[in-house]
Amino acid sequence: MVGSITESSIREQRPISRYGPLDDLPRRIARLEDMDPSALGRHIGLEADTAAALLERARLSQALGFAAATTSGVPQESLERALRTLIQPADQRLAITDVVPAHGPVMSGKPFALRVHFAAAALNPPRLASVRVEWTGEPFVHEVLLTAEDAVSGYVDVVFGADQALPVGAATFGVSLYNALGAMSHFTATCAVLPSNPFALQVGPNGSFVTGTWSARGVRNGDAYDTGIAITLFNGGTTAVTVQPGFQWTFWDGGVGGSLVEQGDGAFPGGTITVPAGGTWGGWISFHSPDGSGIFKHYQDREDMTIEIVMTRTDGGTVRGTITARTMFAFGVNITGVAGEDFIGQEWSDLFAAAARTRTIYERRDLTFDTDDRFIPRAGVGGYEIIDSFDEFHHLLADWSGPNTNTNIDAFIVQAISVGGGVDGIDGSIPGPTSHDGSDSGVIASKSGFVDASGTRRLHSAYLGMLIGHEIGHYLGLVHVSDAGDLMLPSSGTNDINLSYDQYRTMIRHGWVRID
Amino acid sequence: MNEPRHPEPQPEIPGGPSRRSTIVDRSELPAIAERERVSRLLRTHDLVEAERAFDELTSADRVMVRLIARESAAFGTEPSVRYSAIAALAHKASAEDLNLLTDLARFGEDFYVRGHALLALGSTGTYAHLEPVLRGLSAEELFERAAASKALGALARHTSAEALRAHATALGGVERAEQVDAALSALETSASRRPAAPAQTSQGPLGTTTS
Repeated sequence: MVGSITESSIREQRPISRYGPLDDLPRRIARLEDMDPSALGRHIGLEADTAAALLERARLSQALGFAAATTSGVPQESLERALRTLIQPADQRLAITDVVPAHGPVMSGKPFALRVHFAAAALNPPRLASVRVEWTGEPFVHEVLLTAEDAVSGYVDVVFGADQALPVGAATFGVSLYNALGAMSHFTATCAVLPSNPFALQVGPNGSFVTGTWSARGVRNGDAYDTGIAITLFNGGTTAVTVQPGFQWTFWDGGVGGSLVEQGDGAFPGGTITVPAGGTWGGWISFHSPDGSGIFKHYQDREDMTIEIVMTRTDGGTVRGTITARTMFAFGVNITGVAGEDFIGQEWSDLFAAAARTRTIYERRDLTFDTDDRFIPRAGVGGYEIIDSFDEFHHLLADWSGPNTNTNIDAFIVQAISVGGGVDGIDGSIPGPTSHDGSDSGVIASKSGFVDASGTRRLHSAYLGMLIGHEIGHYLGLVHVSDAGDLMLPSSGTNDINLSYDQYRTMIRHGWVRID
Repeated sequence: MNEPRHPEPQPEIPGGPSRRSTIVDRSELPAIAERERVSRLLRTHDLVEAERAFDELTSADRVMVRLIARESAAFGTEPSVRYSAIAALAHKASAEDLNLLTDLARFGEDFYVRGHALLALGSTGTYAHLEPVLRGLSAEELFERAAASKALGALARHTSAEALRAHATALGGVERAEQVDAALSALETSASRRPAAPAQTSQGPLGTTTS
C-alpha cells in the first residue's frame, strides 16, 4: 500500500501572556491631572512652555480639543496625540491600559487572577469589569464590581475561582471596563494556560489560532490530500524540559485504539527540543497522503479520523495529544481592498488577520474557504471607496465582480459606507448568485479604520473578521436570526460567531460550495 | 450530497466543557444596561435593520449616543459602533448633536473620525455645515478629502450646487465658490472613470491562501 509522508518545521512562539495574534498591546494613555508641563510635553511632543500653556487651558476647558485649538503653538500631530492618549479631569471616558495575569502564569486547574490596569478621571471611576473567556469549552463571562480603593490604585484584580479554572491551552480574555455613566473601554489578552502537572502536548489545526475545539482538515491537492497540524509543548514547571525531536504519528479510525489507518515516524529539525520553564515550544507537521494511502481513502470516503502524536522527553517520559481530522466543505472568497493604495501595510496585515478570523468562525462549523487577495487601484476606483447609496453599491458589484476570475465570492472592503443608518456591511442578495454577472454578485464591508494609541493606522481585525463572515453568510443563504451569540444576529458583535447545524446545512447547498 | 460522517469521539475537557458565569445584575447599573442596548442598536450591519434601529433610538438615548461618538477606538471600542454613533448624531439631530458633529469634524483625533463626521454633516442636507466640509476638501489625508467630497455631493443633492456656490462665496469669496465647483466636478469625473464593462481587480500583496 502507498504510504503518507511527513514534513515538519518549528514555529515561532509568542509570549505566554500575549499569546494570541489579535491581542492588544499595552496602551500609553495617561491622566492629565497627574501631569506637570514637562511630563505633558514629553507625552505629546511639545516644548515645555507650550505644554504649560496647554495644561493651564485644559484645566479650565471642558474639551481638550478646544483647549489645544486655542493654545498657540500646538501642532496638529500633538493635538491628535493628546486626544488619543489623555484623560481629562472631568472626562466621561476611561481606558484600559493593560491586562496581565496577576500572580504569575495561569496554571491549569487552579484559581487565577487578571490584573486590569486603567486610566480614568477621579470624577468618573470605573464601576464594572466584565471578562469574556474563550477557551477549549463554551465561552463564559465573569464580572466584578470595582471598589473605591480599586479606582484609586489604577488597577483591579479580577479573581477567577476554582470552579472557573481552565485546562491547558490558549485562553482569550476579552475585558470590558465600564463607569457609572456607561462609558466603556475594551482590551483583549490571550494567555497560554500552563500544565500544573507540569508538562503537556497539544495538537491544533494548521494555520489558524484557535481557543476552542477545532478539527484538522484534509485539503485535496491533485491526487493527494494534505493535512497540516500544529504541535505545542507546554511547560508549567520551574525548570526547562528537553524533548527528543522525533515524533510518532498515528491516524486512527474510531478514536485512539480503534482501527489503525496509517502510522509512521518523523523528526523536527534542529536536534533536541528545549521547552523553557513556564513557557511553550511549537512546531508544524504536514502529512502528504497520495491516492492509494489509507488516509487518502478515508478522506475520500468522508470518514473522520483521529490523529495521535507521541513525543518522548529525554528523561524517558512520553507526552501525547490528539485531534480529529476531516474533509470540509469549502468555497472561495476574493478579499478585495477598494482603493488598495489607501490600505497601508499594517492595514493589509490587519485585513489578512480579519480574514483568518472569518475562516476560524467557519471552520468551527466544518466549512472552510480559500482567499484570493485583490485590490481595486485608486486611479480606477471611481468614487467607490466610500459607498454613499444603495445604487452605488450595486454599481460596484456590476463593475468589479468578475468576470472570468473564478467562482469565489467577492468581498469588497471599502473605506466607509454612508447610506443612511449605521450600515457597515451590505449583501447583494440572499443567497448570492453563482455567477459574477449582474449587480448582486458580492458583499461589501466597511474597513472601519482607526488610529491606535501609538499613532498607528489599524483595522479592528476581530470585528472586521466577524463582519465579513456575517455578509458571506448572507451570500451563502443565511438570513438574520435572534439566537444569542449567532453570527447572523442583525447586530452581531465581535464575539457573536456561532453558526448552527441548520445554518451549516443551508450554506453547503450553495452552488459555489464544494467538497473535494 | 455526500456529507462527511463524524464518528470520532469528542476530546475530553478536564473539568467539563462549561464554566460558571457570574453576571452582575444590570438593575444596579442602569447606564451600563443602556449602553449595551444602544450599542446593539448602533451595531446593525444591513440597510433595512440599520434604518429601523436608528428610528428606535429615543431622545433619552441621545446622551449615550454622544458618549459613544466621543469614545476613541484607541481605547479598544469597536470603531464601527463609534462611526455608527457619529452617523446617528445627524439623524433627528439636536443642537447638541450637531455641535458635537462639528467638533468631531474639526477636532476629531484622526482623519477617520473627522471623515465620518463630515459624512454625517453631509447627510443632514443643510448648508449650515458647509464650512467644515469645505475645510475637509483640503485635508492632508485622502480619506478625509474623499469624505468631504462625498459630503459636499450630499449637500448639493439636498439643496443645489448654486446654493452651495453662493454660501461658499459668502464664507470665503470666489475662491471658495471655485473650490465647490472643482469638488463637484471631480465627483462627476470620478464616476465617469468607472469601467464601461466589468473590470478585473488586481492581485494583492498576499495572493491566494488556504487554511
